Amino acid sequence: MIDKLYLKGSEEVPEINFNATTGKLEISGRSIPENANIVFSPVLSWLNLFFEKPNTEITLVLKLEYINSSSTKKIIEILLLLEKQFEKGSKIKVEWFYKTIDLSMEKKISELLGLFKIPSEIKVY
Amino acid sequence: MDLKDILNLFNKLDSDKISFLYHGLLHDDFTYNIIKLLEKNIDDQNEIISLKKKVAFLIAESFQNIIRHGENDPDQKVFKNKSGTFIIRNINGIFYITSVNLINNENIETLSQKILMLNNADKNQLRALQFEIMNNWVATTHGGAGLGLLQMASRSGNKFDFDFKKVNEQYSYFYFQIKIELQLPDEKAASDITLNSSKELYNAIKSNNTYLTYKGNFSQENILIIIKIIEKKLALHPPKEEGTHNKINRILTELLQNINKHAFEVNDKKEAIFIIGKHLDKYYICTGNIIKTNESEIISENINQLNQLNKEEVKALYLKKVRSGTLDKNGNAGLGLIEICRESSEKITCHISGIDKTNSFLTICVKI
Repeated sequence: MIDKLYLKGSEEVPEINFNATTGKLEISGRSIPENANIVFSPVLSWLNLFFEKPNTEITLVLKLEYINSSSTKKIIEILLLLEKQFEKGSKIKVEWFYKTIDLSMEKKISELLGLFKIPSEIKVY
Repeated sequence: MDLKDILNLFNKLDSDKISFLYHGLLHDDFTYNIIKLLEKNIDDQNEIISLKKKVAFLIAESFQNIIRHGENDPDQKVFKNKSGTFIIRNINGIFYITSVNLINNENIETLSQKILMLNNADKNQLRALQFEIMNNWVATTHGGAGLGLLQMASRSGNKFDFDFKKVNEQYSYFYFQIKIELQLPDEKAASDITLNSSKELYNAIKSNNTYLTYKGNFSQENILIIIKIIEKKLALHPPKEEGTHNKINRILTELLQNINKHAFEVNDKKEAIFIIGKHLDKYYICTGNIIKTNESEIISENINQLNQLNKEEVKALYLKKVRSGTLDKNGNAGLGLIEICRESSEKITCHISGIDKTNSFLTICVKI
């Protein structure tokens, strides 16, 4: 298992910065790719390997400026994996950031996080 | 701006292979993105590929002409940027670049004389004039060297079409049209775009406050360029309500990627048309594309069902769908329309018109 996963972001794909040692998993920037499967496939594979021997404390940090519907679906897949791990006893936290002015995004984040049992915080950036 | 106006505008551009219509505040950043978008579309069409450099040059020069010589719109004097209108169309291998902007009435005579002189000059005279200006280089106070129009005349190989329309004692509208065609003297285009028809188009986009109309290939690469142009446009003229900018971007992305996924493919291209503008304090985004009739019926039915739900019911449907199932192999989530419905301020409008036995033209309009 590779300790770190780093994927450079662009105007259409987010920056992925996952660290198995610190347990900090960060996804930031824009996520509006044509096919989110391609972007998130290495992310989900890395997470599946990581959860074979997980860190005791995991924090998922989401700082997404724009996200299309297919990327939302992939973020939900990541949250489902985290929830499974949380139910197994891992200490997991989600911090989802939104831009101050984007109240409709804040509402959406709150609704989405409400679907999961994982402790979470909504923050402004 | 109702569906009828949108369909009318789509009809006016029906024969176009490529259309790019921009109306409003201008910024230097636009030039690069507009040229990039046009070049990507030209690359898709082998028959006009030789016009690529000329078209890019003429767009850049037209744009610079407005930035340097145009007057600020008195209606929008709170903004420091110049405003103007660009209409770029490709029909039957011919490109038409039309610009409309305000100029000071004092400059009309000099400008008219300059254009008429260039229109009456032959190739050799144009070359000699160019040589003369280069040897007596004096930049004007606006930063130009007087070469712009001359080079445009040489590159286009056609006479300029132009006209003025008085607005008041100080300003007039300056209409300017350049035609660029392939060097095939025997072949005449079936229809020519006259300056008058460009004026009509200008009046339509002005009265409907249409910011941008684009007809062409909706590849992901092109979609990203369109998003950049709109972002810049909204940054120049920000929506009053905070957060609207982000809403527009989200709906725009979903609608444009919807075309990319569902539009009928012609020669590996996803050809479609899209419009964005603002009318009576509401932003509107409309798309139109050819699609298999059975698919268009499914989309229309989905929209009708969403339109019958209240906000809470749409939310419940969204949350149910977002947690269940996965993306298909093409990355379709089946969530796009629901997301659009949640962000829009009115019901989504949809119109289908049959083309032949299997295909239809689908128009979707959203207000924010």
